[in-house]
Amino acid sequence: MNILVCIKQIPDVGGKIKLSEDGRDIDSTNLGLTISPHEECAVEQAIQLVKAEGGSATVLTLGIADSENQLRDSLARGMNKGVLLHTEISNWNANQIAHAITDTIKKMETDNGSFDLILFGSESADRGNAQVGILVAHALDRPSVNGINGLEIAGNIALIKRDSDEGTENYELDLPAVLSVKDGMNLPRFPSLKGTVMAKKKPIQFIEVQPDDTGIGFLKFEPTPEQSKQAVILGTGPEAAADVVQVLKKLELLR
Amino acid sequence: MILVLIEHRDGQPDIPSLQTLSFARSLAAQTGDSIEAVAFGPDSLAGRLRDHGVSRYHSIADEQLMAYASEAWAVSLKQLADLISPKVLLAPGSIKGNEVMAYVGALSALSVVTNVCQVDAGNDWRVTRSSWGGSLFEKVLIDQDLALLTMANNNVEASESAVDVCDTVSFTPALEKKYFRAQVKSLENPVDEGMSLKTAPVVIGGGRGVGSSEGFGVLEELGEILKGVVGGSRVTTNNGWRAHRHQIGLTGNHISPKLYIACGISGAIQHMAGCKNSDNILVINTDENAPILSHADYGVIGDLHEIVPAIIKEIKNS
Ligand SMILES: Cc1cc2nc3c(=O)[nH]c(=O)nc-3n(C[C@H](O)[C@H](O)[C@H](O)COP(=O)(O)OP(=O)(O)OC[C@H]3O[C@@H](n4cnc5c(N)ncnc54)[C@H](O)[C@@H]3O)c2cc1C
Repeated sequence: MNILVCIKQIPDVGGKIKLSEDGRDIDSTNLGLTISPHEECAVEQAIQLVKAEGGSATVLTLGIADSENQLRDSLARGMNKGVLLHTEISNWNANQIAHAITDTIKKMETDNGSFDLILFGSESADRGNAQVGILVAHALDRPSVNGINGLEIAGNIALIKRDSDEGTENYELDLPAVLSVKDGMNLPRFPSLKGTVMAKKKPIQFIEVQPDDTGIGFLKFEPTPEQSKQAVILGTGPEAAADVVQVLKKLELLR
Repeated sequence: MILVLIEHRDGQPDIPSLQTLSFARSLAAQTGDSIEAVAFGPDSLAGRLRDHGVSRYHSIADEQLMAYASEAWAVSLKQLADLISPKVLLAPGSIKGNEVMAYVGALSALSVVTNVCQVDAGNDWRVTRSSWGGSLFEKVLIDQDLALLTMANNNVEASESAVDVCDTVSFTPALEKKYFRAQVKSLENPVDEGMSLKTAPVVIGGGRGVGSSEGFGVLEELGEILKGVVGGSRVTTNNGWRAHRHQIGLTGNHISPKLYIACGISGAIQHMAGCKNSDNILVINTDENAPILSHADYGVIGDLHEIVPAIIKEIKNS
């Protein structure tokens, strides 16, 4: 089974997001970098499937040169090889990202045969458009489900579960298929020490890419209205327990 | 004209769809357009739609479309849009709404703006969408003859504003078999778990500070006393201390209890996205500068492993 997983590097913003002066970027000074939990689950799923069925799991990202770190992290968890679609231009829109990824997949498939599964996270952690997976599926003319919570492979069929407002939907999709994964589908492993060492030697292919002129024009980010308040500190240590009980009584949670 | 996709259950439009109609009316007030609706459903929806300002309802009642199929729905919407040329196609920000609209965009080679909060419909359309899990607004510019939009969730109230008549026209799309390659085969009803994180009046959340799955024992005990439900941050689900279905936050449960007691949780934006609708937040944290304190009502500074047992003891004594 050949699987491709697409991930995206984002700053690990913590409790508050700071914006650059022009509002077009996140001020990521002193911030760690990470990927979305949805994508971690997609990576984990690919590793488990390749372990069970054989084949190869490739991880791809479109981003700045530093995104290599996120590829290496996935390689350390057990993915086999990486592809970095390199650009130093930020704020690509969903259509531009989908076009670049589709072009790359088409080339890779001409050289190495088709991917049975292409996995995405259900939406990116930053702009969260929830579009790219479907745009790629459509361009490749493959079936797709967005935001899946369960996946089993039975021969040439993907058995899929997805939670909706109405309950859990069951799908059966013919492979090859494009799926985007929701956090919670599995418990992503952490990279092992050995995995981290091995990841340094795993191959990463670098490809230069440029955004085309399709899609929505991005203007800027703006902070949402600050609903910031400051907690009343009831006290320090176990001695504060009596005050906590007063609060519970005031809120009529205790009599 | 503004065309709104309606989702329904048991013959009634669902709440997100009615909210979408409220939003459509505010947009129509700017543009002077009328509002029409489309649903994969029966004629009988027309009455409720009229109450919410819809003057024409396009009913797609084809039997094979009653089980959801993203591409087939999208192709149907595109064919209808080609026929009646709306200025805007607007859908609820639901799983289906976002998925179908992504396909409509792909089929029409147009862009879709998801999570829309506001539209300024001047010469060029400036759209404000919710970004970064609701932590930021993002302003984008659209320049398309047909704007494809999905709504941010719970951004507007569903309110009534009736028009005189809503006429129903039926529409029959021409569909190839291949558009049904991703169709719901069966639907399992949601299991009723009794009191859940979503409905509990008291939620007790544990974070990295809890330290282990055993560490949750005291939180469970406090939960039982307060008739509350225990949840956790992603760190706790990621470490296997709690099941993912107990996760609170952007990619977990969204809670709105009377009181949320957050123990050993720092207050990352993605965690706050799931608990900011709590009426009151009480924080127990060793760090007096933890970001969560600036979203909370009450704080106790110190080790949760000492403080939570002391609270339990105090409750028992009082
Ligand atoms: C796209 C995306 C989606 C995400 N979705 C979610 C989500 O749905 N839910 C979620 O929770 N996170 C989510 N996260 C992760 C989030 O960014 C944070 O990493 C996570 O919430 C941190 O969990 P925490 O507060 O338990 O841990 P930390 O940030 O490590 O904080 C631990 C806190 O515990 C305090 N502490 C330590 N020891 C003690 C003690 N003994 N007593 C009292 N206090 C103590 C510390 O002072 C600190 O404030 C998401 C991240 C991304 C990128």
